[in-house]
Amino acid sequence: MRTPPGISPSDFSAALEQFARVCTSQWVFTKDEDVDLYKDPFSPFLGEPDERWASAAVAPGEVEQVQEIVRIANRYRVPLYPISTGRNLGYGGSAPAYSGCVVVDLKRMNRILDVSEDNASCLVEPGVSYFDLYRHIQEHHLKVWVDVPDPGWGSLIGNALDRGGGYTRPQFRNHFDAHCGMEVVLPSGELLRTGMGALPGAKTWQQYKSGFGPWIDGIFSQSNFGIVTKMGFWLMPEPEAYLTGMVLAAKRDDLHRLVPLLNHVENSGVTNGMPDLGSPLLGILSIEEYAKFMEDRPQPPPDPELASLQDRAEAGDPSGLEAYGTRKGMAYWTFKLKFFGPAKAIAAQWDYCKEKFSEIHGVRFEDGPLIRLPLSEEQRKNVHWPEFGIPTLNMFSIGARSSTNSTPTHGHMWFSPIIPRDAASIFEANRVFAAAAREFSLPILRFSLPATYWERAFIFIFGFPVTEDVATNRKNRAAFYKLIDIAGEHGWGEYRTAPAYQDACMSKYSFNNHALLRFHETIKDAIDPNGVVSPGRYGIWPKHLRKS
Amino acid sequence: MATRRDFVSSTVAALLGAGGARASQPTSARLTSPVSHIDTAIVDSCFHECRHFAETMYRGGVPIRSFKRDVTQLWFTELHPSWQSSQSTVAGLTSYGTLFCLERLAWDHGMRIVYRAKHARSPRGTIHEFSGNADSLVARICTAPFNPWPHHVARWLLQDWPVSGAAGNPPPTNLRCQSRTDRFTPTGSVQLYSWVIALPQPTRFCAAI
Repeated sequence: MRTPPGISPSDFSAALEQFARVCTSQWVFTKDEDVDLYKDPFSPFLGEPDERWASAAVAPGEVEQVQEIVRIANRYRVPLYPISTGRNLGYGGSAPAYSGCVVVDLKRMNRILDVSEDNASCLVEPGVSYFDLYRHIQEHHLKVWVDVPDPGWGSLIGNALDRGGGYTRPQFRNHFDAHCGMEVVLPSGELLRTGMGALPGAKTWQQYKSGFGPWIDGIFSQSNFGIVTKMGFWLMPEPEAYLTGMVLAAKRDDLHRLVPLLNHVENSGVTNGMPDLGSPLLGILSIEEYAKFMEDRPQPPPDPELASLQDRAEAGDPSGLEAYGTRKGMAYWTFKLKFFGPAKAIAAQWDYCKEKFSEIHGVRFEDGPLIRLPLSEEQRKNVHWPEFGIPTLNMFSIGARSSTNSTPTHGHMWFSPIIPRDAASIFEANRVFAAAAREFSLPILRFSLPATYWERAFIFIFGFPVTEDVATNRKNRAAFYKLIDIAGEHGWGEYRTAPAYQDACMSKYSFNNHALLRFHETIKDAIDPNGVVSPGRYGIWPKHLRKS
Repeated sequence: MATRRDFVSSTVAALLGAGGARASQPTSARLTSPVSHIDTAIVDSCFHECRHFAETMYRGGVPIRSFKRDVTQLWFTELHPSWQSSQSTVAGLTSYGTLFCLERLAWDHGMRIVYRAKHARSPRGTIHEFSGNADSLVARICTAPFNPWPHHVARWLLQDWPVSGAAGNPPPTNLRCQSRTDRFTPTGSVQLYSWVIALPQPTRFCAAI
């Protein structure tokens, strides 16, 4: 067992002894074989001295135990690192941002406290996973969906606090936005409820989000200002039907009209599923095509003519590729629009979209099938489950060594900058990131399209492999830091990142001499003067660990 | 560097396998040996090797559950409820992705990987790397390198492993051997893992709950 930096062995032992008094010794873990389970399996520092480590772990089962743990931590200045289920792999997992923390593992707090079909909402504890809530909904035949990330094995609270996303309607697939009310153990050990939860006797905690006065919920996400022990979420009423419609455009420059039209129909609520952008000519698969790709044999490589034309298109001359597409009946761009709702209504919504997109010369449309919900067992086999609120582990079936993947990676880390929602930014980001990839000798695929998780911004999500080779990981880390710099120079910031990069990403949000970070630090100093909760998380360090 | 979608697709395992027999319904007769200490064996039917593993396990009295590539449904409908009610011992022959996933899910029930081996198929045969005390298994494979190795592994788990392997988290070792299995395996490189998830001995609660 290792001791947290700056804490005497006797103080640490005393703290652990008191943790055990609170939770019983059965739920305090100090042996290496137990504590090692909290390492990040996708750590960018895999096998290196800087790999983050925990000194111990404690698993409370009740909120009162969390409060007591925090008080004890304050007494001995022991740093804590709360996790819900710790499964945000690629963004840090269960390993602390600051080595030596005692992990506060909240998985035992896994009660589903309420699910209201009438209000389409729920109230859960941090240990409740998407699978747990999905199972509860199924077992009780409730007509609500929970928007799930992919994979869906993590915690609702953990994912929302990390500001993760899903795949259904916009107000649900932004998981933090979908929350309604929280309960927080503050670094002092005091218990706080937000929104209507602050009003004793109110029955509207999961109905009205903001309560009265400053709406502070946001400061508990991507932060270290408390330990969230309950959180409410709005759920999606099970829709009557689902429809897709594909918009196909032939010219590279059509993207400049496609995106504003997409923004219009999405911001107007006419299309209400997650738009799916693809490019058959550039070999960019839509989400559903990609899911199919996973099920079927990998596609043969493109013919040499197409590869050559793709190169020319990337160099700025798309005419040959466009002509090839016309000859072969392949679209340059495909925008798959998705609709949840009453069958008659969504058919009309798709008709409206077709009218709007018809302003693009040569555009074509493909009507997808209308699916009556809930899905049949047969239908489930052919869809991307998360789009229907069904959690899956399928993501884990795709990384094995095979005849087409002779060098599987150990894991991955995501570089995920937010960019403006317009075509010019897509082209510019591709140009910039492709140049950076060449400069840093990173493997990069051809032209990429952003993801549409969020309503009014695009997000590029690039995967960097974590390997078992230290030199490769070092090279990738260096490139990752450079990309953060390059993105920052263009006004593109990360939406979320692993602890290894949180300081670097936060440093880019530097308006007015880092006023935002300084405000974070002011709050931290005021509510957690001993710096016991998650030091360093998202770049917020307590005073005694802060660099000048 | 690739987009999230393309990054994943660029690492996609084809998982083609050879179709495999329906491992849950092998045609071979069961052996008359008593029911094993292994409660269930699970196999990924995408992989040819899993057929031999499943058949031998089944003949040893172990119920077989198969899935194709994605273990979600099997975990959701069978493994999770089973682990909720009793920490049953499960053996498997699967891809690394499935093992990675199930190992972490098993932690939630106080269970651990108590045996693990990597089997890397290549055109020259299959290289095996073992964790834990697997000398006798290595000996079996070495003395019959042309027989289907999944059969050896399953037999060893049924017969020898309780004595030599169930002591908890397996330490890494450098035990390696090679079997020349081109007589029955398809060509192409595939990496499989045989494993056992169980409550470590002595019985106690684990971290990661």
